[in-house]
Amino acid sequence: MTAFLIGAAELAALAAGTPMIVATPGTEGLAGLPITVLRPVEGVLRQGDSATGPAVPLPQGLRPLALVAPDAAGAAALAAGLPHGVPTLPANGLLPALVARLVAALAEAEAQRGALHRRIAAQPVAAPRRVIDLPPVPNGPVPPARAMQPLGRDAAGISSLALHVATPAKEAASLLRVRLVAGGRILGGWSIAGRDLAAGWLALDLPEPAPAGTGEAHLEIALDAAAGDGVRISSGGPDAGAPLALRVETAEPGHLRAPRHFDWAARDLPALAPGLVLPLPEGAWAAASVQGATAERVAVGNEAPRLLLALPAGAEARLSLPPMPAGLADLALLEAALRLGDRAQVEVALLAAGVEAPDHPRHSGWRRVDAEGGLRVALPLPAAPSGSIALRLAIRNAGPAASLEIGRLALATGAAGVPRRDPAAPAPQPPAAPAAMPPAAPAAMPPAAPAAMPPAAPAAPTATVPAAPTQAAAPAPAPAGTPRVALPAAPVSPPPAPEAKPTPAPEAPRPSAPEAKPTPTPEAPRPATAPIRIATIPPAPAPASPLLAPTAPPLPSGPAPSRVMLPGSAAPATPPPPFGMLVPARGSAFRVAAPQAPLPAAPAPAAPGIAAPVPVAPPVAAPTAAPPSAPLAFAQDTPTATAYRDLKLNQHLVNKEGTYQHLDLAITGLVAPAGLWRQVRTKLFDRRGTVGLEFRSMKGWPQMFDRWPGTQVDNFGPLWRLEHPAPFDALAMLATPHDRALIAAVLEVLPGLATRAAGTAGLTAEQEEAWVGRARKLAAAVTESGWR
Amino acid sequence: MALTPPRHVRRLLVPLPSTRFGGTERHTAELAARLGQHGVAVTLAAEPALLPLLAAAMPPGQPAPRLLPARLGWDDAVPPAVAIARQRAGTEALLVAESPDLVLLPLPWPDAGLGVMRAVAGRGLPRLVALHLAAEGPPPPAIATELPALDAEGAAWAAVSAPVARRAAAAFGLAPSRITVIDNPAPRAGTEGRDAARAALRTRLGLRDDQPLLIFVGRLEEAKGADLLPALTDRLNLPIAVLGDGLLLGHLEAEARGDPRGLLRLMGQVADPGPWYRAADALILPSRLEGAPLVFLEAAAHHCPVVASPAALEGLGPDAPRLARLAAAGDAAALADAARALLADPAGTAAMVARAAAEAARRSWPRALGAWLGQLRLAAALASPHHAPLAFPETAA
Repeated sequence: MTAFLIGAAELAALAAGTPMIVATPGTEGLAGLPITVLRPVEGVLRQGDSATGPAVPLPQGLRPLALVAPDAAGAAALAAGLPHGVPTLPANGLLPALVARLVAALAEAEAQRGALHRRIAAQPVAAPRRVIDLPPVPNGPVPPARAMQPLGRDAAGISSLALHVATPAKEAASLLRVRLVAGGRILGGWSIAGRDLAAGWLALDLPEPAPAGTGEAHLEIALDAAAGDGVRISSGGPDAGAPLALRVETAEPGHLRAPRHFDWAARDLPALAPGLVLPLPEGAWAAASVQGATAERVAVGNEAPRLLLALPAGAEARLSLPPMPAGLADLALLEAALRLGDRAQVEVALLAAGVEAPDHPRHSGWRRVDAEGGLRVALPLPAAPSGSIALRLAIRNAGPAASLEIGRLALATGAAGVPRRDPAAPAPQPPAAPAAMPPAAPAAMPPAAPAAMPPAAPAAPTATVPAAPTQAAAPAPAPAGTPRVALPAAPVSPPPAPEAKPTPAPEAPRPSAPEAKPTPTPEAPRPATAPIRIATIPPAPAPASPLLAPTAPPLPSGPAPSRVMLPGSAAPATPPPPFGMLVPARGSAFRVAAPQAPLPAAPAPAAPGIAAPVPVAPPVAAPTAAPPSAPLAFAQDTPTATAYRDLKLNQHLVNKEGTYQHLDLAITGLVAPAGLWRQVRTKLFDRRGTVGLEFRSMKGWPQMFDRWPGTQVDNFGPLWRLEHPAPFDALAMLATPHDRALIAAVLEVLPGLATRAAGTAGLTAEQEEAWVGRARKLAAAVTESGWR
Repeated sequence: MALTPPRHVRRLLVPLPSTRFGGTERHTAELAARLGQHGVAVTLAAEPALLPLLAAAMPPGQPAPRLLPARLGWDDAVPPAVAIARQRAGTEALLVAESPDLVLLPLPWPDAGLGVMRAVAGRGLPRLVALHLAAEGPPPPAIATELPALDAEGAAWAAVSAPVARRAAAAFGLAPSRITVIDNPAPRAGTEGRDAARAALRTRLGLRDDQPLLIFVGRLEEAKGADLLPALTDRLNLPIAVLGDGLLLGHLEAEARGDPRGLLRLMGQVADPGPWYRAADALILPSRLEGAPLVFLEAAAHHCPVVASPAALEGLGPDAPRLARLAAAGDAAALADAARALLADPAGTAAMVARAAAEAARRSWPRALGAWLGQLRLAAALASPHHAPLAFPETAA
C-alpha cells in the first residue's frame, strides 16, 4: 500500500495545528464531533467525501492525532498508508479514547513548548517594547480604590506593567492588588504590601509574555489602605475618570522573569464571573460558633441546612465563622429572614476581617429586615495579605424573642470587574502603539466636575447627614475632620465621587497614536468601556461607614457602656447616637455594646428647635480611615440582582393640603446586571393617590439617561414622570436598553429605598408602610403594563 | 458554642381536621404538593370524603403527595371533649404509622384541631399550625380547657391574614408577634379570551352582549352571604350567576323559580370558574366572615372587579378599599349600592382592577412557599431539644 496523499487545504489546516483524526470511510458515529475527521478518498485524505483539489504527500513530521476504524483489518489498512506510529482508536467507545489521546497530545505539545522555552531562554531575547506609556499627572484625580482599567489592546505579548504610586504607603498593612485579565482568565495577579508601595513607578512583571489569542486585556485594581494611610496611585489625566498612569511592555516569547509580588496561585485561573456565589461549605458551619443565641440548623426536604438563631428578648448575639481563603471572591453575601420577632427591633451586622487583622473588620453597619422580613447584605471583603478572611455576624434584638434564619452566607464575585456601561464613552479606540499615549492636555479639559449631588441641591439634607465633603472620593482615608453620625437605618452618604463619565466634549483628548494598528476583530463588540477610560467599581466611600473604625477610643468604663462614640463621630460628652455600636477593641475581636432601649425612630429632618445629633468635633484618637467600603444593599431575590451602595434622602415633602408628598432620593452606586450608575436621583411621589417617579434634567441632578426621555418641560426644565395608572406610555419613551435597565433597576430597589428613606425621615411605621406600598404599587403597575 | 449537626425534615404529616372542602382545603392541597416538590415526603391525611377533592385541587403536572384517609374531621355534633378524644386517637395512630419529622396542622377554625394538637404536643413533635379563619368574639371555650396541654409556645404559628392572627393569638394565649402572617397566593391568570368568554356565557344565559353580568362564587351558606343574593337581584334588577353548592341551594332554587324575570341563575359547582371571572362585570362577595378569600384573589387575577362586604375583605387590611368596591355595610341594600357605583364608574373600576391584579400578581406561590418553608424550619428549631425556651415577657406577665 502506498502512502496516502492529503488535500492541500487539509494539509494547511494540519500544519496550522488543527487536531485531526483519520477514519475509514465506513466508520460511523463521527458526525458532530468537535474535531476534524479525514477520510481517504481515492488515496487522498480529505475532510469531505466529495472534496477535490490538489493533493500532496504528507510532509515528514506532520501526522494526524489518531486513526479510527471499526475493526482491526480496517485499522491495518489505514495505518499502512499513514506515517508510522499514529495510534489507533476503537470506533466503539471512541469518545473516552479520543479525550485521552487529546490530553496526551496536549502534554506532548507542552513538553515541546518547554523544550523550546529552555532553548530560547539560552538565547539573547530582544528587549521589551513599551506599548503604553501614560505618565502621571501632578495633582490629578484620585483613582477609586477599586477600578477596572481596560488596556484597549490584546493581551498577547504583555510582559510587564507598571502603575505609578503618587503617595507612598505609610503602613505595611496597606495592600494593593492587581490582576491582569483577558479572555475571562487571570493572566497574572500581584499583591503588593504597603512596605513596597514606594513613590514612583511600580513594576509588575509576568513570568513570561502573555500568550496570543487571549483577547482584550484589562486590569483589576483594589487598593486597601490601612488605617491612617494616605497611599494612592496616580492618574494619567487631569479630569475625573481619567485613566490610571500606566506603562505596559510587550516582549518576545523567550522573555522570562521571576516576578516580584506575583501571586502564582491566581495565575491562569478563570476570572470568576461577576455574581458567582459560593456558599460556605458544611465544614465552615461545623467549625462556626455562636454566642448569645441558641443555634439550630434545619433542612426541610432536599435543601441545604439553614441556621436559625433563637434570640431571646434583648439578646446580643454573635456568629463567628472560621477563617477561610477568599480566593477570587470580593464580596461576602448574607441573606437572612426574620421568622419570628419584631422586624423593627432586630438588627444584623455582617463583618469580615482578614486573619492578620481580626480587630479591624470591615462591616456592613447595622441592618434591619425589610417589610417582608428579609435582609440581604453584600459586604466588600477587606484586603488580607494571606487572602484568608473570617466572617462574623453580630445580631441584637431589642424586641421580644426572635428567630433569625440565615438563609445564605456566601462569598461572591461582585461588582468589581464589571465593565461600566458608559454611554458617553466613545467607541473603542485602536490599541495604543509603541508611541506613548499623549497625556491629557490640561488646557483643553474642563475642570473636574463632581457629579454627585451638589450641596446646593434644592432639598435640605437630613439633619443626620452631614454635608458631603467636596473632594473626590479617596480610596480609603477619611477626611480627618469630617464629622459622621452613626445612623444605620440611613448610612451617611459617601463623599461625592467624581463622575466617571468622560467628558463628551470633542476636544477631550483620546488615546491614540499614529502607528496604531487596527483591532484584530473589529466586528466583535468590544467591552463597552473605552480603552483607557477608567471604569469605576462602585467607589469605596471611606468615611461612610457608620459604625466602626479601626482605632476606636477606649470604651468608657463603668456600667453598661451601651452607647459608644465613634471616631469621626460625636465626642463622648454629646448625646448618644441612636444605636449601640460595634466597637473594636484591642486584643479581642470585637464587642457588642448593649442596647439600652428599643430602637428609636431615626431623627427627623432638621427642623427648627430639633437638635440633630451633629457631632461637635472629630475625635482625638481617630485620625482617619474608617473601613474602606460601605456595603451594597441588595434589592431582591438573588445576589446577582440589583443593588445600591448608598442612599441619601434629599427631602421628604408633604404639601399643606396633604394632596402631594414625595421622597427625593439620591442613590449612589446603583448596580444591576445590565449597568452601573454612579449617581441616580429621583423623586418618589404621591399626588392625590397617583404614585410615580420623577426625573429631572437640571442643576443638581446627575445625568442618568443616555437619551433624555420625553419632551415634558416645566418652569424648572425638562422632566420625565413615570406614573402608576398609565406607565406604558412613559416607558415607551426610554430610548436605549441602558435607560430601560436604569428604570428597571430603580424600580427593583425602590421598596428598599422607601424603607430606608422613611427611616431617615423619621416617619412612623404606618407612613413607612405606605411609602413601601407606593413603591410596590408603581413597580407592580410597570410589571402589569407588560413592559420589557 | 459550636453548632450542632443539622436537623433534617424529610417526612411531613399534614393532618387536615376539615369536614368539607373550601379555601382552607384547597390551599392545604396545593401547599402539600409544593412542599413535596421541595423534596419533602408529604402525607396528607383527611376525611375519606375529602380525598378526591383534595386530589383534584393539586396543581397539575406535579407528583401529588400521599393521601391517607383518616377520621380527623372535627365533629360539631358531639361534645368537644368527645370530638377531641376521637381526633386524638386518630392522630396517635397516624403518628405511629407515619413517624413524621414535623406536623403541619391546617386549621379551618381555631378549635377544629384540638385533638390533633394534643396528640402532637404530647409527643413533643415539631409542629406548625396554619390558621385560616377565626371569628371575632370570645374564643371557643374548648381551647381554654385544652390550652395547658397544647404547649402553644412550642409550636410555630402562621395565619393567612392579620385579623385571623390577632384573634387566634388571643384564643391561644400567644403574643401577637408569635403568629406570622403569610399571604395566600393568588392563581396565575390574565385576561386572555375575555371577549370570547363574555360572548359564550352571555349566549348560554340568554343575555344581550351589552347586558351586565354579576357572579357569585362560593359555598351557598349564610357565612358566605349567599342568602342575600335574591334580594340583590331584586334591588339591582340584574342577573347574577351563582357558582357553588351548599345548604342554601334549595332555598335559592325556590327563590329563582319564584322570580319571573329569571335573574338568579344557579349554575351549580363549576370546575373552572376562570371563564366566568373573565366574562363577568363584577364578582359579588357578600361574606360575613373570611380569612383571606381565595375567591377575591381568583377574581383579581382574572381582572374581574369585586363588590364586597367589609367583612369579606377584612383580611386585606387597609388596602381593601383600593382593591375592591366595599359596601358600606354587609346588607343587600349596601351591596346593591356598591355594585351600582362600580358599574357606573368604568374608569375608577378599571384602575381598581389594575391595582387588584397587581396585588394578585405579587402574591405568588414561590413567594408564599418560601415563607411557609421558613415557618417549617422555625417549627423544627422551636421543638429542638437544644432549644432553650423562649421568654416572652408579654405572655409571662
